[in-house]
Amino acid sequence: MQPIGILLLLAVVTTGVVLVVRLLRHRRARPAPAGAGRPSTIDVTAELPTFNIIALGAQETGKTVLLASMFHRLSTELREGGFRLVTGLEQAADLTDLYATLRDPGDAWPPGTMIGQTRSFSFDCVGTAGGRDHAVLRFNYLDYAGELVGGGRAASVPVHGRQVSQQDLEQRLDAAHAIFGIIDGRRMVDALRGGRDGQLYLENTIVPMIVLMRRAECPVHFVLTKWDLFDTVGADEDEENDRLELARKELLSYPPIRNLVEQRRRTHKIVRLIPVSAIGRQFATMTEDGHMVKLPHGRLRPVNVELPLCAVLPDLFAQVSAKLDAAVERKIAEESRALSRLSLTETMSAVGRFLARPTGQAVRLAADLAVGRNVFSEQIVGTFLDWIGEPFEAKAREVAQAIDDAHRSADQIRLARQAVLEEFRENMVVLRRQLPASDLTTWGVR
Amino acid sequence: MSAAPTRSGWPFLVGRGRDAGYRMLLTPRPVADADDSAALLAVVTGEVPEDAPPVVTVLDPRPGGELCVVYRTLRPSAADAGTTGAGRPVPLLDRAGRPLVLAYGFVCRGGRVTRVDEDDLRYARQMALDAFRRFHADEAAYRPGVSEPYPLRSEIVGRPAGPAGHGQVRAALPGQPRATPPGQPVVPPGQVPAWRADALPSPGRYRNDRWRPPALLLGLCALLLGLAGTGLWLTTRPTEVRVPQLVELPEGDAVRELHDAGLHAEPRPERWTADCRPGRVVAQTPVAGTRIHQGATVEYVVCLARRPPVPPAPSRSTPAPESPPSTSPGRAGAGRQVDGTEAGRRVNGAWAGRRVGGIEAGRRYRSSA
Repeated sequence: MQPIGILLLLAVVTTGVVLVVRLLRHRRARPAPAGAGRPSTIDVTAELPTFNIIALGAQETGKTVLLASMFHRLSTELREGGFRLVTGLEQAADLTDLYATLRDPGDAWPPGTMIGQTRSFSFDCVGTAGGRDHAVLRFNYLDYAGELVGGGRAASVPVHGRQVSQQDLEQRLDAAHAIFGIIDGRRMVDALRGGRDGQLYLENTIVPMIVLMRRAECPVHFVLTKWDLFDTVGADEDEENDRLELARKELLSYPPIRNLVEQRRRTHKIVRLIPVSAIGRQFATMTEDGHMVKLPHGRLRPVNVELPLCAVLPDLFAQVSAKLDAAVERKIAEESRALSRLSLTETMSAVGRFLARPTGQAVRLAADLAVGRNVFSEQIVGTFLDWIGEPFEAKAREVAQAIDDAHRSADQIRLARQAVLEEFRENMVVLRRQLPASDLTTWGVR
Repeated sequence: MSAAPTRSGWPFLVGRGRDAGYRMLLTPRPVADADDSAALLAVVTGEVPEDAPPVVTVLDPRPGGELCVVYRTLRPSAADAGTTGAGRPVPLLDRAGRPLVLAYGFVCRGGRVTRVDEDDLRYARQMALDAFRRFHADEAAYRPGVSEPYPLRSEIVGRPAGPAGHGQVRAALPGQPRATPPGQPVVPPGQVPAWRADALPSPGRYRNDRWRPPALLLGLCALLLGLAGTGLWLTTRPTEVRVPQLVELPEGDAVRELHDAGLHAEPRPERWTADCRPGRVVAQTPVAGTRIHQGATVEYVVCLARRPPVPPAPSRSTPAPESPPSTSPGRAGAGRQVDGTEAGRRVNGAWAGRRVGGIEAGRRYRSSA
């Protein structure tokens, strides 16, 4: 027996044993297949597709109040079995306190957001399937002091740190999946009535915001706040859509806004004008000196505050699919149906293989062209594949036939996600039907 | 500017007006000199009512050195702004009808305030409201004032213990709002953690992903098999030995030599020549010194004690084969065969390296008829 031969054999045997042990450990550490144990052990929250949102707007436009009202509205389901938002305890407490201040008729309005109060809120979107809640995606929402965007009279006085904060804001814009341009409804009403203050606002104050929005590749929407004030606009306009049409015409009469919409229309990108009210009608009234005061027995009834958030995914994905050839889109839908038979965890590895195929390359290219390469992750591609498939009902039937007991829980998560996507889509369909003027471009939602 | 005493404070005011947004309205001299107002603006992260303990925050390192910030907030009334007299306080509102909020307080250098003297904050409040009145009178024309030092009564200890990063909130009094929770990453005030840019990996990453795991597994198996085969071959391959010199040895010694070397001895038919020594090995194969595997066979030829009898001649004579021509008399006849038929013939030649009855000779050998 040769010593070197013995050593080599020992090394091979040791290597083999180590590999086998590691393989066994790896298999043991993997999450148990759904159905093998309690389905509640599956945790996909670490891999949630995350969508970043920035609400741009100058001071006094109502950004933070809109955020608090939106969170309050969406922290419970809009309809039976629908989605809801959850966030961390501290952020939830802050937003709830703000909303409580807002809805108390005896309390003052919440003061403006200070520069040091700039925060990024994280909301998990929770859907329901099989009688259980599942976190299916996440929104990051940046809330900041309007002084940092500037514009109008605010811009004439230097704000310390504005330059640094604006650099930070511009970096976030590159990673954003949607941008809301918040337009102050009070000054918009003033402009519609021919007021100089309102016209100056539209001419000057929102220009910095438009400049930032033009740079963005992701969907951008105008959110018209304080929609309750528009009830008195246009005495001949009974219909809500007609009043929105007035606002739309006024907005598009300003070159920076018109050019932005034209630019995005040419590239098949979506621009919406979504009217919202964080407080609703008959909660406050405007005094002669132009201040809003709460009515003694007013009741808060927010209007459309959930719609901007619901628009994020449908518009983002519609923007991507607009870059896809119809045949390629059909092919992707076929592959999507194949993926729907997999559990969510299996899907994530399948998405990697999908991206290596020609159809996956087409999606990558379309995403790069439509929204920029920095905003699509593998998780978002997985969500996109769910969205691009067949209508929900048909898919649900197909999935129900395909799933077996071993994968039931994972597919419940998938079903929950598809239900959330469908609810987003339905909200956009309803918005388009009820307020056609909300689509600033001729090209609309799928 | 003259050097300020160590225990001095500088009042400050952060606030907004009816039209103007939040900004520094009264800037401490050290902050103004270091052009570091942004850090002070970022410190104010919420309202601190006047009946609540003030917030104490340490910022370091700053361009002008370590700074301790103490502040509260107030919602100014018309009386605070000096626009109306006594009576029910009328809160000042911004253009949207929201109450104004002012953050006032003082900063000091070289230590951390461990107990705030209310007189220090009262003086800072008075300085702040003076500045606010000027601002409120004409927001558009107002330019932020710069505050001068005043002696503090608050308790201040030396440099705060422990390292801290740039702009980090390092210390705060118990009970203050928005203190960084234990275990949470400390984020500089006013700064928000960056968003992760979720980009898809490069297309090349996916190109061979499908085949990579099985290919790696196959490669690993092949490598292990190769290594195992090499090890097995090295372990089981036979040992080589050198063939000993047998020629001239007695047969018994030759066989012993072979056994000692782990070789198998195979005698061949004995031969007789005129000058060989009977009982001794006259030839062997392989020749001495050759490396062969252990256990291999070595053939040898032993010299006969006497000449074997010549068989009777055949009836028809057959000419004996001629020996190869020798180049000179007495020279070895290379390749000459020596067998029974040739016995008795005179043969001049050397055996060394030549075949003799299929056996190579180990030495020069001479035979004669």
